[in-house]
Amino acid sequence: MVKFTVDELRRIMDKKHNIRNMSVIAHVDHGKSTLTDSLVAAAGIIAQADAGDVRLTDTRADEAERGITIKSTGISLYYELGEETLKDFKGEKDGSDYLINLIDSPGHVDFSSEVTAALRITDGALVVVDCVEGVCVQTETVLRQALGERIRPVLTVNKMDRCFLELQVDGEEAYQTFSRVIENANVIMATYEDQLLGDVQVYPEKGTVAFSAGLHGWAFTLTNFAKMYASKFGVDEKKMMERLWGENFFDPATKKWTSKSTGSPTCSRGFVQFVYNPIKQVINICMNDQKDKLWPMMAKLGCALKGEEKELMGKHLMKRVMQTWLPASAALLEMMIFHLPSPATAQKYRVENLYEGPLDDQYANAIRNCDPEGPLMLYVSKMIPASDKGRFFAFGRVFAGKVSTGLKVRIMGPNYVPGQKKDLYVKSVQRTVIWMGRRQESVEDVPCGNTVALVGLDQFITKNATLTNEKESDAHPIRAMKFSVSPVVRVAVQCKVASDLPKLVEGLKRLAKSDPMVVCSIEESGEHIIAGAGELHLEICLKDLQEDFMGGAEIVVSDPVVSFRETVMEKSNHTVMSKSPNKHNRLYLEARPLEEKLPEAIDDGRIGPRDDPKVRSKILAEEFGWDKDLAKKIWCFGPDTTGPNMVVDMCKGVQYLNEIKDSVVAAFQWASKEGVLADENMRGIAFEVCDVVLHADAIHRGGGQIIPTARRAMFAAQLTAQPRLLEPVYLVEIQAPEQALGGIYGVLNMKRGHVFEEVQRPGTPLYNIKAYLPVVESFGFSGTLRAATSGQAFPQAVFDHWDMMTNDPTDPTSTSGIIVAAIRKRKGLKEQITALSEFEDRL
Amino acid sequence: MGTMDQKEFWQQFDITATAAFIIRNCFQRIALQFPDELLKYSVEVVGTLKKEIGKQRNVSSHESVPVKLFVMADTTFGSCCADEVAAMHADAQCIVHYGNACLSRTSRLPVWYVFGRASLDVEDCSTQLLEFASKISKPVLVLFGLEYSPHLLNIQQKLSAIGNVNSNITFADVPSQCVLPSSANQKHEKDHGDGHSGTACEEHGCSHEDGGVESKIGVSRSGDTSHLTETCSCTASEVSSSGQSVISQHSLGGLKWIVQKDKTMEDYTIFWIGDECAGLTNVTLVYNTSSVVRYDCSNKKIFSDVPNQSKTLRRRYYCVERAKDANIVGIVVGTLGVAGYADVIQNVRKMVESAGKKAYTLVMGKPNPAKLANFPECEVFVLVACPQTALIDNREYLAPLLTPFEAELAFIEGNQWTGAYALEFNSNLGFPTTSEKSDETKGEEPRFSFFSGGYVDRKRLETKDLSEDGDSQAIVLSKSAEHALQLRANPSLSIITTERAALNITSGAEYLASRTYQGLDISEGGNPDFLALPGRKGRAAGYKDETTD
Repeated sequence: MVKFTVDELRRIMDKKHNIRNMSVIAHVDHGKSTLTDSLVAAAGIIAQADAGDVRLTDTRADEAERGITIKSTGISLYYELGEETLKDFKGEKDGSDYLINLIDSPGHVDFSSEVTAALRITDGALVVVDCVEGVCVQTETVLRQALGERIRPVLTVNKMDRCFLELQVDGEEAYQTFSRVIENANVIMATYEDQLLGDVQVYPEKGTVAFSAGLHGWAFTLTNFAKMYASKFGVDEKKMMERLWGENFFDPATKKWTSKSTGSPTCSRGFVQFVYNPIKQVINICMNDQKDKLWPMMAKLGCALKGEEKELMGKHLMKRVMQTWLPASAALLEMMIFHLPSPATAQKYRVENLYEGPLDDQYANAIRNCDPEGPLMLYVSKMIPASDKGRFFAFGRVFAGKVSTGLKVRIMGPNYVPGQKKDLYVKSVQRTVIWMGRRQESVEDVPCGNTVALVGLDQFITKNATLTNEKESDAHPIRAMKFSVSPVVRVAVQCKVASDLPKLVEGLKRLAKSDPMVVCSIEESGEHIIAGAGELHLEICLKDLQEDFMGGAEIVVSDPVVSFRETVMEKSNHTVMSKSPNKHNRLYLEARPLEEKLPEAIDDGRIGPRDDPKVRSKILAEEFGWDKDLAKKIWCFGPDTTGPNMVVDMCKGVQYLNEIKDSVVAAFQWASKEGVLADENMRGIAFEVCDVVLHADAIHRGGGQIIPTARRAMFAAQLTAQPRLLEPVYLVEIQAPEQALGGIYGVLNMKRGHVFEEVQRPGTPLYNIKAYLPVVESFGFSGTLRAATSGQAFPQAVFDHWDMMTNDPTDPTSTSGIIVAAIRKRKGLKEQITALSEFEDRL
Repeated sequence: MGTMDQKEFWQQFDITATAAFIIRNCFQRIALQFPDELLKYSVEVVGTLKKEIGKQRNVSSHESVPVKLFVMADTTFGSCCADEVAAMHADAQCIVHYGNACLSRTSRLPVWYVFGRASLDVEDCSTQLLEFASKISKPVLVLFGLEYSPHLLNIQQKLSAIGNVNSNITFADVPSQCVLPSSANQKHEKDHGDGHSGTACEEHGCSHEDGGVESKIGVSRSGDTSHLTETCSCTASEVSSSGQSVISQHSLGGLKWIVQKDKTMEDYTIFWIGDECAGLTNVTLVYNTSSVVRYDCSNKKIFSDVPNQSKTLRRRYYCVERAKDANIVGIVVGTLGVAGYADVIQNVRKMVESAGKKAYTLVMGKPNPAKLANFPECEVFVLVACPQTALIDNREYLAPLLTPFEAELAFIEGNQWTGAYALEFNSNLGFPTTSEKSDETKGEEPRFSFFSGGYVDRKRLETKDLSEDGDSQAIVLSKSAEHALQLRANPSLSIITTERAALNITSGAEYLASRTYQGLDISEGGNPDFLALPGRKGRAAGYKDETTD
C-alpha cells in the first residue's frame, strides 16, 4: 500500500496525462475482486491514518458472505514507472508517477447496471477471463457494453495457477487454450472497430494481454519475458516479443526459429519454450521444496527472497517466489499505463458518445481537450449511500473544468430539455470529496479527468445527472446511460404495521436512488412494486430497503410477480363494432398480430413515433412486407406512445375522421397499457380502424363519446383475434462438468426450460449449456440446480424474449387461463375475463 | 316492493310522523323527493299524506291553511341528497326525502328523511348477533343501514328479553330524522328555543326514539342541541356528560354512537346489519383498522368477507399518488345541496393552485365516464359531493376521482398518507398553515413519483413567474400555447397522457395546442368549394346504407 496525504494525491490529479480511469470487468467468479485486491495490496493509495486497514473493495458484509461483488467500488492506485520502462513510453507524459482510478464492478448479470455506471466514468477496461472457463456470456455482454461506450480494453487471462496446479496441462495445450480465449474475445472486439478508437483487439505480442494468477498475486505480459531474453540473446525486444507468441517455434538443438514445428522432439513453440516451461519449472521446484535448485534459479532471474521467507514451504513458498519474480501489480499496472488511454486522450474521441449537444460548441471542445480551465462538465453516474442515513454522495467524473467546494452548479436531470426549466436546478456543492480507501477526504477542488464524490446535491439528483457551471445555460447534458438488462422481476412490498407507510415510501425513494437499475413504482391496486433485474438483485434491494433505508421497520414481501404481455394470434374473425354511449357513433375495428420481429424493431427504436414517415414506410415495406401507403397511415404507437402496438387507419373516405383521432389515440394508449385479459400491457397488436360512423353534430362525437367506445372496440377486437398471453423468458447459461449434465437437464425439464445449445469447451471437461427458461419458473432455480448438481453448476440468467403461451387464456381451465385469473385476482378485478358481448354492439 | 298492504304502506312512508312534522312546523309548501325506484308510489303518497295532514289538523284544531305538496324526481346529483335547488324552484319550505339517504347537512332548507322500513327477522338477527358477540373477545358495535333503523329497538328489547344483557354490544343510533340547514342551525344557536322551525324538528327527533337507547349509552341530551344536528358528519367529538367519565362520540352517515373512554374504534368489531351499500363502504374505509362483519337480512347469514377494506384503501392511496403527478385538475361539482360545498370548492381550488397545478371547475350533474372523458386534459378529478356519492372507483373512468379529503393529501405538501381516512369534506380545511410552513428550499426540491420511478420537478406553473413580470394573463396563456406548439414533436402523432409529461402541459390551452384537431379552421380560406352531395339517409341508430346483421 502507498501511504499518501490528501495534498499529495491532489497534486497528481492535475496531471491529466498521467491518470488512467479504468474498470475491471468480467464474468462472475472469474476473479476480478481477487485480482483487484492484489493490485490494491501493492499500489493502493490509502490515507496515512488508514494504514493497516485491509479489504478495500468488497466493503459490504453480504458481499464477503456470498463471495460476489454487488456494488462497484472505486479505488485509487499509485504507480511510478521505472527509468528503464519509462524510456519505452511513447505517449504524452508528465513525470513518472501515475494515478490509476480503478473501479471493481460486479460480474453477476443481475448487477450489470453497476457495470454500466462504472463504464461511463472510465476510459479503459481490464477484461478478466478465466483461462479454463473462457469467454462467458457476461464477459461478452460487458465487453460489448464497454466497446459501445468507446472504452479501450486490455485482457488478462486469469487463474493461470489452475493450469499449473489443478489441470497440469502441457505447454502446447495451454497455449491452445489461451489463444482460444484471446481469439474469442477478439471476435467480439473486432466488430467494434472504428476509426477514432483504432484497432481494439488485443494481442499478447503487443503487450495488451496479460497472464495472471490473481489468487497467488502474480502476473506477466510478454514484455516481461521479452525484456529478459532480449538482453540475454541480444535481440531487439520488440522482435523477441513477436517470437514469444503465435506460430514461432524454436529448437534449442539447432538454435533456430521456424514458423512451423519441425517435428523434432526438442522443437517447441516460443511461448512454451521461453514462457510457459520456465514458470512451470519454478512452480514445480517450489512445490517439491527443491530449495537447492531454487536459489540459483532465483539468482539467475535476478530476484531474491528475504530472510524468513526462505523458510516457507510448498504452496506458500511458490506464491512468495512467484510474487517476487512476476509481481501482478507491475505487470498489470504497466499494461494499463502503456495501453489504456489517459483522460486527455480518451476524451478526444469519447466526446461524440458523451455529449448530446453540437460537437463544436465550447462544452464539446472543453471535453475533447480535457480542459481544466474550460466550463465544468461533470456526469454523476451513481448515488452512493453515505454513512449518515438518508444522505447520498453523488459520484461521477469531471469531464471538463473543475468542481470545487461551494461552487454553484446547474443540475441537469435525465428529463432536462435544453432551453426549458424542467428537471433543472441550481445548487451549491457543499463538499467535494475523494475516496482514499474507505475514507472520504474533502478537497478544495477536483480537476477534469478524475472521479469525484459530491455532497449536498442528493436531493436534486435521482440516479444520474449532468452538472455544469451556474451560468452555462446553453450547455447540453451528457447522454444518459443505456442499460443492458431490464427489470423483469417484481415484488409487491407492504409494511407490516400500517402506520409505517411513510417510512416505506421514504425507504423506496432512497432505494430508487441508490441503485441505478431498480424501479420503485405503484400499481393500480395501490401496491408498491419493486422491480429488479433478477432474483438476486431483488433480494439485495429488499435487504437494503429494510435494513438501511427503513431503519429496520418490518415489511411484507409478496411472492415474485412476473409481468406478462397480451397479444393476439390471428386477425379478428370478424369486424367488431362498438357504439358510443349516445348510440350515435359507431367504430368498426379489427385486431391483427404484428409481423414477426416487428415488435422487437419497435423496442429497439428502429421504428417509432419520431421516425421520418418516409424512412419508416421504407423499413416497413421492405422488411415486413407492408403496403407503402399503409405505412403512412399509422396513427400512433402504444403504450406510452412508443410501445410495440399500433393503430392503423384503414378507413376510406370517412367524414370527420381527423376529429376523433386524438380520442382514438387516447383510448388506444389506455387500452394497450391495460389489455382486456389481465390489465397487462399489450404487445404486437395492430388495431385497424376499418370504418367509423359519426354523428353529424360535433357536440355528439366528442372525446366523451369516442374514448370509451374506442377502448371497448379495441377490447372486442382483441378478444376476437385469438388472444394469447406472452411470458418473459430468460436465456440461461450454465457451465458445468460432464457428470453434472444429467442433473441440469432434469431441473430444466422440471422447470419448463429447454436446452438449445450444448458445447464442450475445447480443452476442458466443461460443458457450456444455453437454455431458455420461463421467468415464472426461475425463482429458486439456481438453488435447485446447485442441489441437483452438488454445487457444480452455476447459472446466469438474463431476460431474452417474450414467448407466446399456446393455450387459450379465455378458457379458465387452461394454464394461461389460470394465470390470467391469478393476475386479475391480485389486481382486484373480477376473476372472469369480461365477455365479448360487453364490448361489442350490434346494429 | 311490489304491492303492499295499507299498514305496510303507512310504515314504509312513515305517513303519520311526516304529517305531524309538517303540521308542527306550519309548512305550506312541501317538496317530496323520491328516488327513481319509489317514484311509482308518489301519487299514492301525496294522496295519503294530504288526507292525514287534514285529519291531524282537525284534531289539533289548527287553522286550515292549504298545504301544497310537490313531487320531485330524477335528481341532478345522487338521490341520497336532498335536492334543494329543485325544491327552491317550487318555492318549497321543506323537503321530505324518501329512500336511501346520506343525511348530509343542507344549506337552505330543512329536510325530513323517511328511510323506509326494510323487512328483518328480528328474532334471527338477535340470536346471531348474540352468538357472534359471545364468540369473539372484542366488544361489538352494531351499525346498520338506515332502512333497518325501525327494527333496532326491537332487537334491543329482544336481547334484554333473552336475558343476556351483553355489555359488550354497543348499538348505534339514528339521532334525528330531521336535518336542519346549516344557516338555521347557526341562527338557532343564538336564540335558543324561540319557536323556530328548528326547535320543533329537534323536539320531534328526540321524541321519535324514546326507548332505552339513550339511557343505555348514558348521554344526557337535554339542552345540548348542537350535536343533534351534526348527523351528517363523521366526526368524533369528546363530550363530557354530567359527572361521568369522558366518552368519545362518533357519527357517520346519520348513525351515531359512543365509544367508552378507555377504548378506541380499533378495539371494536363492527357488526353491520343490512346490504352492501355505500354506507358500509364508508364505514370500512373510515374505520379501516376495525374488522367488519355483515348480517345479510334476506339470507339471514353473517358474512365476514366484507370487501377487503385494505384493498379499497390501497386503491385510494394509488389515486392520491396519481393526483400528485397531475398537472391539470378538474373539480367536479357533485352537489349543490350539501352545506358548505361552495367553500369546499374554493378551498380545493386554492389547494390545487398553491400546489402549482391548474384547476378547472366543472358542473355536469351526476358524473359518468362519458361525461368526464370529454375533458381528457384533466389528469385527475376531485369530486365534491356528499360522503355517499363521493367515493367513485370505477376503472371505466379515464382519470381517477378523488374526494376533497384525498385532494388535501395529494396537493398539500408535507401531508402524508397514514391510513387515517375521512369522508366528510369540511372536517379539515386547515391547509394554509401547512403550506406556509414549508420553507423555500423544500418547495424547490423534486418530488419522488412512483409513476416515473424517479424524482420529478415540482411543477410550478410557469405562468406564475411570467405574471410576476407584469404580463397579463392573456399574454401568458398565448405564450405558453405558443410554447406548446413549438414543442410538438411530430404532427402525425397526437399527445396523450404519458407524453404530455414530456411536453410539460400545464393548462387546457396547451393541451388543445398539442392536439391534432383543434376545431374548424376558419382562417384558412384555401378550401376549395364542394358540390353539395346527398349524404346518408335514415336515423342515426342505423342508416339506410348500413346493413343489419
